[in-house]
Amino acid sequence: MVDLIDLVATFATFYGIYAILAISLNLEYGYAGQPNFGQVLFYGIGAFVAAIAAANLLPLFARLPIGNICNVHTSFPVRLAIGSNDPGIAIPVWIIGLVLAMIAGGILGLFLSYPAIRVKEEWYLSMILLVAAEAFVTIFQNTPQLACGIFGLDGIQNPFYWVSNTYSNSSFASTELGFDLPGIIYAAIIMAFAGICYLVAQKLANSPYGRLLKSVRDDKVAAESLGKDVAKVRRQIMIIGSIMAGLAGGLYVFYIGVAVTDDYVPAVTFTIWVMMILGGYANNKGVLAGAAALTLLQRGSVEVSLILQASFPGFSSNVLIYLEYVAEAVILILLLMYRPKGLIPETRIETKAYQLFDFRKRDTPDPSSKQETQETTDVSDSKGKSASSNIDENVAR
Amino acid sequence: MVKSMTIQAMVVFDNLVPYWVVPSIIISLAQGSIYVVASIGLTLTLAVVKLPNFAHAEFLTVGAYVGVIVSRFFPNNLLIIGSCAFLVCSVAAIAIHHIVYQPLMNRKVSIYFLVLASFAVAQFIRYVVYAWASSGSATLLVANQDIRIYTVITVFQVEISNIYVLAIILAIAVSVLLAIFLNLTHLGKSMRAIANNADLARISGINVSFAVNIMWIIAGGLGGLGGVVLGTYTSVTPVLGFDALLDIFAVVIIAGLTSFVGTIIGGYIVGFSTNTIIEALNYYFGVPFGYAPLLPFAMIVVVLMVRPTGLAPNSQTGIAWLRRAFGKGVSSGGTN
Repeated sequence: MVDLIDLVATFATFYGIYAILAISLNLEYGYAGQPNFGQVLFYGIGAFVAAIAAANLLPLFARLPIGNICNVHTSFPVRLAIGSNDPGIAIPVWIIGLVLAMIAGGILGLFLSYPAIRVKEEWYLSMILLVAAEAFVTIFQNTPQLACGIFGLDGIQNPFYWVSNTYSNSSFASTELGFDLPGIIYAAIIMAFAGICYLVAQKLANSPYGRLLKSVRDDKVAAESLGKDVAKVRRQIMIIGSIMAGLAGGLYVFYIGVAVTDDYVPAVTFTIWVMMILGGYANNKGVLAGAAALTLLQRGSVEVSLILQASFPGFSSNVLIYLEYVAEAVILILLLMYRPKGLIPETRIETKAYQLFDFRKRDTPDPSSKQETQETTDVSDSKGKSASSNIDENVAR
Repeated sequence: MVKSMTIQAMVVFDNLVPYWVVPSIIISLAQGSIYVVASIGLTLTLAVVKLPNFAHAEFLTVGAYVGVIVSRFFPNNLLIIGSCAFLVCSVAAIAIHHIVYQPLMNRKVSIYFLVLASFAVAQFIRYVVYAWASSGSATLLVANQDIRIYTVITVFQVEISNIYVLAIILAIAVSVLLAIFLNLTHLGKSMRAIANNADLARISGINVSFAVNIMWIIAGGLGGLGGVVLGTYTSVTPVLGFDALLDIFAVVIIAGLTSFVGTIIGGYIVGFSTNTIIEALNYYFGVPFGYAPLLPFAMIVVVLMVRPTGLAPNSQTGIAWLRRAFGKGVSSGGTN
């Protein structure tokens, strides 16, 4: 039972982080058509910025010398001690770290949207972003001054760790409690952040701005000819997506406790893409479902391999994790072949303007027949208009 | 008199040129040759089927592991090891084409989906190799091919091993054979015709699917050969190919995506930049060696942003296929 609670908390943590990442990629690729093959870069930069901020600010706020943040013998225990005893320092540092992670992600998004607007062909952009993500790993691995090089910056603690400490000081000890209370609190907070990101994405997508994004995705020339600033829109959406990815990185590093470049390899980007394609791009609900499925697959393979390793001593725990990556690849290929629109295909944008437009067309401005009208709209949509006329309508509205 | 002048010249040479220059130039030449062999298949793929195949680097991994296994039975027999790697990788390439790429191309999916599919194929191969290598009783996650390495000649007090000589000879042989194949044989000419315009080639009576199959045999096989040579040079791991992926793409992008002469030039540019240039930067400015991959990365970004036709002069086809591939981009205006 207790194991189950921790299991659910772990799942929720990973699910929340993956959901934020998948939503941000969905905004960039699904809605705006920016093929971001370097999503892990923004995720990683968020994590590293939050970790560096926490490592420097924790001793600073506690009025202790900062010293060498990489030293595991002096600086590491100091950070843990402050984090587990003083909520007045741990939580502000956590919030500052998250804000800095978002700012860093946004700035990097702005910086990398420069080639996005400038390159002639779209495929080049995915190549450039992939290269940028690899360059990030190379730089952080080979520059120990930044974040301790290849070993990573350790000792970034869960900001709610003091909760369990408070309990163990009282008669109601943490060991009696039996489960990881700070982890559960943090999982709930990550889920809350994922919910906020989902709401923001829904609000953005189901608005005139969402329609503008789709028009840029489907036909840039048409959007440009109708007076839309395509370059500006693409820059904006890249910044928004990068801020979300940076937030996910910041949240993740406070959960996992160490910022190390091995966590930010291109395989993560691939997983996020599989989530998005599985759920259905340009559909936030679908993306949440895809993230849930893939997180279940990943966590499931980890847990099962742990169980197998416990019962069969000779079993190499990594095999199942490797096979999970193989399964992701197979899922993606099958999806691209047989269900390229994902499990829940893209639907029309739901705004007031669309409904009004439909009422006017059908000459039934009676709000009581709203439900019926929506159903008929679905039917007319599924008949399939030609792409360009759809776009022109989108932009015109 | 002459002898003293020679000694004097050598002293001047030693004083002028730092100790690392000659060995690093030789390593650069060897590594550039490996890059040429490894990336010429990707150039072919880009030219003939217009596919940026991110799974190409995995042929190197597979080839290197085939080398590991075959060299257990035939140690030091480079001919058998190389031909086995060529065979296995070409079969793999044809299988991938018919199982994944051809069905997707028949469905006329967007270029992103093809890129994603090639990522998926790459991930599939890489982690199957991982699972296979870690499952046996003796783990093969870090393996070595059973090929003896010995010094062939000594130039300027630098010992040159047989692997370096082999890599350079292989690159020259592959380039010459491929040039003869593409320019003088009927099949090679039809491949170039497909690269220029597949529809026109088809209505001219060229058997496109046969030529494409041959193309995959050459592309995959050369990838495997490159992997064998790369595997003798470093130890063989499941990420051998993946680590070289962006270097290979740098070579091809410098070449303007479809130029063969450009690929040879690009291979040596990348080879020199990851060895001689980084050593020079380290010697004079103290740049860490770990930054070596950043040079090809920078080249990719700069070439794609400033001159996407590559450095080779005659590579208009690269842009042409991209136009065709996208139909409606910002620059092409969706006219063709």
